[in-house]
Order: sequence, then structure tokens, then C-alpha cells
Amino acid sequence: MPKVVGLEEAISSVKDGSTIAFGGFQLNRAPIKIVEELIRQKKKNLNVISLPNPLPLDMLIREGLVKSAKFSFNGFNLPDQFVISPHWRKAIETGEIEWEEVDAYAIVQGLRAGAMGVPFMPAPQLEKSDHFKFMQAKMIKDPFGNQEIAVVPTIQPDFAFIHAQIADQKGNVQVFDPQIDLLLAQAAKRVIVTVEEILENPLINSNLPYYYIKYLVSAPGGAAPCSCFPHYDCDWDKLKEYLKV
Amino acid sequence: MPSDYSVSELMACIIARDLSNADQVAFGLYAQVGLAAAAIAQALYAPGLQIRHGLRIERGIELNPPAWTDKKFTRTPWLVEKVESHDLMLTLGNRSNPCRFCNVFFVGGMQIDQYGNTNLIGIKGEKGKMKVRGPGSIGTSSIAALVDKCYIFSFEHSKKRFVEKVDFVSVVGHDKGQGGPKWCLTPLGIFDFNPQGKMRLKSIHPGVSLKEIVEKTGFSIDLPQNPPVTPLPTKEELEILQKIDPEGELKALDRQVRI
Repeated sequence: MPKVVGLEEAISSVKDGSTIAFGGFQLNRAPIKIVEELIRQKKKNLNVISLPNPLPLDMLIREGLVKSAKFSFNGFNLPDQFVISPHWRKAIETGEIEWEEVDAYAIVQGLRAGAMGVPFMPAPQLEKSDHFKFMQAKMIKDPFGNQEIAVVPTIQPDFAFIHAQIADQKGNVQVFDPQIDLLLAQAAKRVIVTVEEILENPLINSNLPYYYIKYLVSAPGGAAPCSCFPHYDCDWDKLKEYLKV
Repeated sequence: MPSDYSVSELMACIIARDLSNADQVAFGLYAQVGLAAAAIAQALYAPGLQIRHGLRIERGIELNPPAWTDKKFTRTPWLVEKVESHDLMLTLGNRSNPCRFCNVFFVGGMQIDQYGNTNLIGIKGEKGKMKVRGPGSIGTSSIAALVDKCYIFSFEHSKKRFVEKVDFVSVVGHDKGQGGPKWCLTPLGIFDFNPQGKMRLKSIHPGVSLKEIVEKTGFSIDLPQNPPVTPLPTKEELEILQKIDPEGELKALDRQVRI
């Protein structure tokens, strides 16, 4: 069963140099309280996989805590403008961090391999774009046919950080609007979840069951200034303040 | 160009006329034109068309409230039929799956080249560095390879954007042996691709000259002698646009600074 703990205790289990990935998608359910605690505890040399999920990666880069980043996209889609993730952009233009540019589905396929415990997974249709030059990917011959197919290596993050809406006392979590969260939880070695609310009554339709989760933290507002439907929308003013736009 | 419609509205109408009942239309995060095109098509030409906004399937014809206003991922849940998980996209999207994720997609680019390769990755600098970091391609590379109709678009038609060869390839063009985009839509005209896979003028927007297209394109473009003029939005299309976009967000798009 997951341990219901405070944020400080949960994040103290993260070692410098860990490979980490955040749940949510774009500006929805980004686990920002966890990011703030990683920053407060100064976890260094982090290897971040972004799903895409621009704010956590950008905040960690701003604090100089990122060694490498694997991503497909890092932009903020504000109501009236589009902003490229600023600290990430600068870090790449100045060569401050190591990075790997991938197609989002290559990450998905890598996580699938990670969840299944196999060393690689085919990721077709990627070999013609330049992602193939940036990515850890190889062409292999289909052993059952004659065609060549692109494969990507397994991804098993040390930690998956997920913010969700509700959980029960046992630690069963329900993500109302899962995007890649569930696959991420299956692939990661340890899963830390923050939730808006821990309910008295048991959840009968949990989609992220207790046995995936190492630590569960009650953290109302844990995604702000990003959104967590239906609890709250993005705080656009705060986001703009962060982005200086 | 007359002032009662904007370039992005014209683009939306042109794409709408090219969509059919069998189409499943999906968009990236920043493709209001594609969404408007799908909504116009649903209302006027293809009622059976399925709109997938990002990872969602939208319920029915959605004219109001405008689909792309402030709550992109959290708005009007009662209009959303299904939220797909990201990792399902390949499962649903591969060509052997009858569900398909989508068969129509829209892609922009910091650079677009003569074969329709687009670049969302960045502009090359010295010594292998990146001079200008772009936002990245998300999953456009794989989605574009899976769809039947991919439209590329740009709100800026300039030599800086329309280059002979893109610095990095996000979505592949017609020179890579796996097909390529159907059309490219710009403020100057609509372009398709000739049998050699090179960009060709399909129709020229009202008030635009061939000279202007040549001057603002960074490669030699296939220009027919007497290209047709792009048909303007119809009265019906403008009425639908007014309903789906009462705040005039599409018009505002033309004025926004692009990546």
C-alpha cells in the first residue's frame, strides 16, 4: 500500500541524478507542488522526460537542476498567444543542457517497452524525419518479415510524478482525464502522486490503483498555476508573470 | 483583399470545402484554422465529419461557444464525447486499425521548403548549436505520416519562412518517398505539389500578384501561366464563421506574431 505522507518526505526519496517524468498534458495537471519541492530540496542533475509538459521542465531548468531533457515540444499555449518555453529555449541555444528531441509517440513506445519490461519497441513512421537523427533509435530488420522498422529503447523513469483529482484512504487514485499518466505509472520504478482530495469512501473505479504508488500526498491546488479539471482552470496571470509576457 | 474576411478565415473556408463526411479531423495545439474549417464543413458540407480536438472527440456540431477560446483543455465537458489517452493514439492511429485516430491533420512550420518539409525544431547555428530553438514537433511527425490529408499552413509568406531546404525536418515532404502534405496555405495563395513533389501554385488570392509570390518565396516555385483566383468565402460560410467565432479570434490570428 502506498504511504500517505507529506510532500517533503515523499520528495526526500528522490536522489540527485534521477530520471524523472511528469504526468498531465501541456498545462493540465502539471504536478507543480512537486516541482516546487524538488526545487526547495535542490535535487540536482535531473534527467527530465517531458510528455509534453512545459512548465515543470522549464522551472527546473531555470533553477539549474537539469542535466538532460528528452522532449517533443515545449510551448505554452496561452489564450491570446503562444510562448516557447523560455528557460528551456535559452538553455538549448546556449548549450547548457544535454537534450534529445523525439516524437511524442517515440516516448509513448519507449514507455510501453518500459511497462512491459522489454528492451525496445518498434516506433514506425519516424525514420524519415530528423527526429531520427536526434533520437536514440535504430533500424532493425523485422525478424518475421523482410521490412526494416525503427525501434526505440525502453524508458523506465526512476520516478513518475502525477497530480490527480481524487484518491481513497487505501491510496487508489482516480485521474479524471488521463493522457499518458497511466502508462507512465506502469513504466516508472517509483510513482509519487499528489491529489486534490483524499476521500473517506473507497473508490470503486480507480484507474491508477494503489499498488502502482509509492507515496501519496494530499495537495489541494497541487497543479496551480496550471489547471486541474474540474477543480480549477489555469491561472493565466500567474503563468504570464512567470513567462514575462 | 476585401476587409470583411481575413486570411485565416479564407484558409478555413478553402479547407472546409475539401473535407468530407468520412473525414476525422484532428489538430495540434495551435490550429484554430483547422478547427474552424472542420466546424464550417460540419455545418455546410459534411455533417458526418468527426472533430477530434487534440485528444478529444467533440460531440456533434459545435458552433457556440467558440471551440478554441480560453479553456482549451478544461472547457465545456458536456461537449466532449471522449478523452483519448495519448498512448492510444498509435493504437488507434495505425493504418491497420479500423478506428483510425484521424485522417486529416494540420501542421505549421518555422520553415517550409519546396517539397513541403516543415520545421518546428529550430534554426541551425554554428558548430552544431541551435541558433533559434523552436517549440518542437510534438507528435506531428508520426501523425502526419498516418493521415490521408495533411494541410500545411503559414500566416507569413516570406523568404525567411519559405526556404529551399529546411534546417531540420519535423513533418516530411514529398522528397522522402512516403507521400507528403496535400496543400500549403499562405496569405498569398494555395499551393499543391506537382508530380515531382515540388510546390506549385494552385490558386492565387485576390489582389496578390505572381511577382509578389516569386519575390517572397525562397525557392523556384512551379507557377502556372494563368492561375485561378482563390474563391472567396461565401455568404453562408461567413455566417457560420460569425457563429463559431463571434469574438473574431480568427481575424486576430492574422495580426499575431508567429514563432
